[in-house]
Amino acid sequence: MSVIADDDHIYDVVIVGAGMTGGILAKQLIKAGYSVAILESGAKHGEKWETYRDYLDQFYLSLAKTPNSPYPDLSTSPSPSVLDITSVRGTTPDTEGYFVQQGPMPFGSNYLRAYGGTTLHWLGTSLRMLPADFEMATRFGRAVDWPFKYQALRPYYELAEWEIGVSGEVAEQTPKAMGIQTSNPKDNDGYFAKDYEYPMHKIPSSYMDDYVAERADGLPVDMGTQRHYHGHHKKGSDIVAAKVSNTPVGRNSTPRGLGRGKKGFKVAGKERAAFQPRGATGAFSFMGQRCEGNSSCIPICPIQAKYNAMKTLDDALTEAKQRRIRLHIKEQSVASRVELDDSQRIKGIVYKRYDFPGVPQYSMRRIRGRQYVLAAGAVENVTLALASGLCPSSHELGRNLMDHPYMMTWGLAQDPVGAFRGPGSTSGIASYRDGVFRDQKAAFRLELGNWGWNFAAGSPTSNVMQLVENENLFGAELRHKLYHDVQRQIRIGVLVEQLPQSSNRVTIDPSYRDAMGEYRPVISYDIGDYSRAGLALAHDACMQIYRQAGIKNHTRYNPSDAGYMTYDGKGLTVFGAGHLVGTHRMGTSANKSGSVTDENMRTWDHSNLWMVGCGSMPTIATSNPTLTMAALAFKAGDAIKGALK
Amino acid sequence: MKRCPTEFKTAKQAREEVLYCLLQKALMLELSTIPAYATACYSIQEQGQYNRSSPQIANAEPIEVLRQVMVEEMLHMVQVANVINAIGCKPCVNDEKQLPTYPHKLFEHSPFKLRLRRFIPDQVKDFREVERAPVSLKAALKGEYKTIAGFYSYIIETLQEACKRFTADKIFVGDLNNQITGDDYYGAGGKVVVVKNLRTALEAITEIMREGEGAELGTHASDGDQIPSPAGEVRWDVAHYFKFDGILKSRYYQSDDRLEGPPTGEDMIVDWSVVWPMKDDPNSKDYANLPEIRALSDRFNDTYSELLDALNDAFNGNKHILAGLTPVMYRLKQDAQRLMRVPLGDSGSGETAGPTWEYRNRS
Repeated sequence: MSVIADDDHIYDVVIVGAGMTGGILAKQLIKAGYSVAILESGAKHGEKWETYRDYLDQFYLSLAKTPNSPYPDLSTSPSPSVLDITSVRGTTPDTEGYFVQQGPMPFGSNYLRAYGGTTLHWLGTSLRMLPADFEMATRFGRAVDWPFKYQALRPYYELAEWEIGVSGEVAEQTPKAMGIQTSNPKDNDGYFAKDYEYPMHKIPSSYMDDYVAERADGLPVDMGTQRHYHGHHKKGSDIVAAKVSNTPVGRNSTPRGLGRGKKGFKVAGKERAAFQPRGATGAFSFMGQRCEGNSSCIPICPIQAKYNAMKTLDDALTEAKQRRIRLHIKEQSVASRVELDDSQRIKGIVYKRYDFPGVPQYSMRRIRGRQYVLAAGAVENVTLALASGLCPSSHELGRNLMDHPYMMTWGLAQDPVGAFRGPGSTSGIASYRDGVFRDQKAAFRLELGNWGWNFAAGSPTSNVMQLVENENLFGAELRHKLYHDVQRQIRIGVLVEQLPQSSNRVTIDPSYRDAMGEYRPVISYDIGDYSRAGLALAHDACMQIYRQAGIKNHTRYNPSDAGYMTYDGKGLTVFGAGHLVGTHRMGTSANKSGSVTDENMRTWDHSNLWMVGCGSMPTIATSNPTLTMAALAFKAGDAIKGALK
Repeated sequence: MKRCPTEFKTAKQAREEVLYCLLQKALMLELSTIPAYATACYSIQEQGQYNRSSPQIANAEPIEVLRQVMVEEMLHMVQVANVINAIGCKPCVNDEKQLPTYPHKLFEHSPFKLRLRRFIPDQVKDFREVERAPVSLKAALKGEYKTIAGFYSYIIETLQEACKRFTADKIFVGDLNNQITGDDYYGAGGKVVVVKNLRTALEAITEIMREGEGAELGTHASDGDQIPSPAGEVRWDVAHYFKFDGILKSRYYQSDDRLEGPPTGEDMIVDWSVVWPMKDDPNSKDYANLPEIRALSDRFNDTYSELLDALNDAFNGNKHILAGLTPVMYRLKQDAQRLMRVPLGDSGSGETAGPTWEYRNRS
């Protein structure tokens, strides 16, 4: 029998996962004087400037520029890849990739197990949720309410926006300014705190954004017959006008100056100095560069103008050094089992430490702390917890997996719109993110893409192939035709909300393990009619916008696509948005049986265990979840500090 | 180069004849370094260096070092424009008569001419000379400046003298609305100083001197700029002189290194061989009989002129233009590298064309 060696030190807090949640928690806890250890399954590659260059080289060399293409896929710490998504046929699970897909729909999203986590390849979208999103059950009789309301999270949103460094304008981001007819008109009151400002000015909208706005703003879209609600709205047809609005993002732009006579910026009730953009991580860091439109936010920003969690982890490490507080980030350490004592408290985490990335040869160690946090993402948190027999009482662990089913529509504009320039997206049409129609169908957001048909149809490479092989063009003629076509490409992405469903779940099965002997996630997933109705409406909205803006529709969905599905006789294809949400949701003490943790993300079953991240979210709504996840990390951090006292 | 008048009898004369002349020269001085630095930077072959067994971008590090210097030179231009606006004069960056032509003598008394050359050690040595601190300021303060620090010291003295004689209120009469602020411009080169009085003018100018040559007349590598990093940590930027010297020595300077000692930072990988063999000092006359290259060269110069015209507008009240200039700068780089890929004639030397950085009046 092998003996598991204990680590020498007992930490105040042990965190699993060196991503954004782990980073924010570590930084806060160190500031408060507590020692922290982080277990990270991936290797610590990108934290130096030189090694970050290796990621870039890998990206430039990759033939398929998928979200994870710059980053090593280690057998010792495997990540799901979008290239592994195929249709699930019959009852035989698809085991090709890291996920074991049980269907009926393939779960199309991925994440990255590496130092810095999935923020290495995120786009940077930093939208807040809307007040209605916290009250789905009360307002629409759908799904569940959050254990708290929007206002309770508002100060944490501010902390999150200043941690990430979000570029945006408050005046353009209220529900009203985005053209949303909120299900409760009072939702606009105090959406932002008085005098609150984003740390940086907005990143300018692209030429294409303005082109679409000029032609489609004000276009009425019928959201369907509404029922009487709260007396605020009249019965009848619910007409929403399209409005293009700038999207707040975690990419450096121009930091906001204090201006004359202003002493500081108020963030969560405290005064702060003006924001200073952070540069690249590691020893070679220089001042943070502003986004200059390198057009590869996904999968990698070559100049690190886009926020990634390595910046927060770097802050935490520096803070720890200055204060002489212990912060150990143990990379290449796969958390394997969480151990319980007789009183159902965690007594340690057994992890497998491997010496060589990709070589599954490891030693077993045990790490101990006073409080334990699982911050490894909605899927990995669950596989680890299930493997350790944690949180059994509610039977909710691993269930309610949600994503934003992501559908694309694409077309050709009459004029060149400057496609393939700038960050992936600078604007969207947010008008449909809330409304009384949500009792019947899903709300959605339209994202205007700046990279032509890149994601939708593999442009511009596919255009070259088409013109050379089918139209026999070459030389100057080919160049002109290619430029002519590609410059007119417009693509709209649809992110539709999905309701929690207990049959959409992550589970484990002893027959499916990775090279390290760890459980692979077994996923069952489907998209319900609520979302499908939203998708169908979103598709109609896109077509109306195209007609109004003189854009010729070129959208094609192929029944052989992995994410092909039908609604009301019409077929469409969806992908994953990489927004993995809901597997260990929060709840109120009155509803312990329907949730895994309390509102501060402390598990009901184990008083010193916290599960923090997108998995904590009871509903997904229509905003990309990263900003909300960061806000939740700050909220949990406050509670963990309280528990340590 | 025409000398600036030194005598003034009224505050108006001090502003409009003496200080304006000196500061306008300073603006041209800052501008004149950028074509030389940029040409060297763009001559490094960024693409096509991949080797599947050991993929890496050649010279990623010197490219980054040169980029850092350039964004600070751009900041310096903004600072000088702010000082000119502060004394109620009009900064000008698109006057053909004032714009530098290469090889370019930075000062009447300077010992060498700044050339347009590819990334080779001799060129980086010249860059180092541009940023070298003077041993003494004695001659400079008499008006015989031949270094950047000497020149700015002379400007500072003249500013102080003028303020002493006529009071600062009579000198700093400019419209505050023309001042470029941090909200108008962020180029990751440091903080923009809004100039409204003698103190802020001196702050703007000393910042320029420090970033070029280092603190205390170039004896320290640090330029006094703290690199944004977590509270409490001290991470300082290094002055241009030391950055260039680091490239030559293949090793980074650290902020507490000194002029007399070697750099003590990490290795910097520099490969002098993966560089486009651009002809030294390209001039549009070289392309007189080469219509295709001429067209590429005109295209580059048009972009350069477009940039200068826009900057001129921005410095004279239309500040919002600055935000849209990033794509123009990218185009400048593309146009320059397009030239560097074209072999020049049939001489067999393998030399390629290069950007000439000439202003073209397009109106």
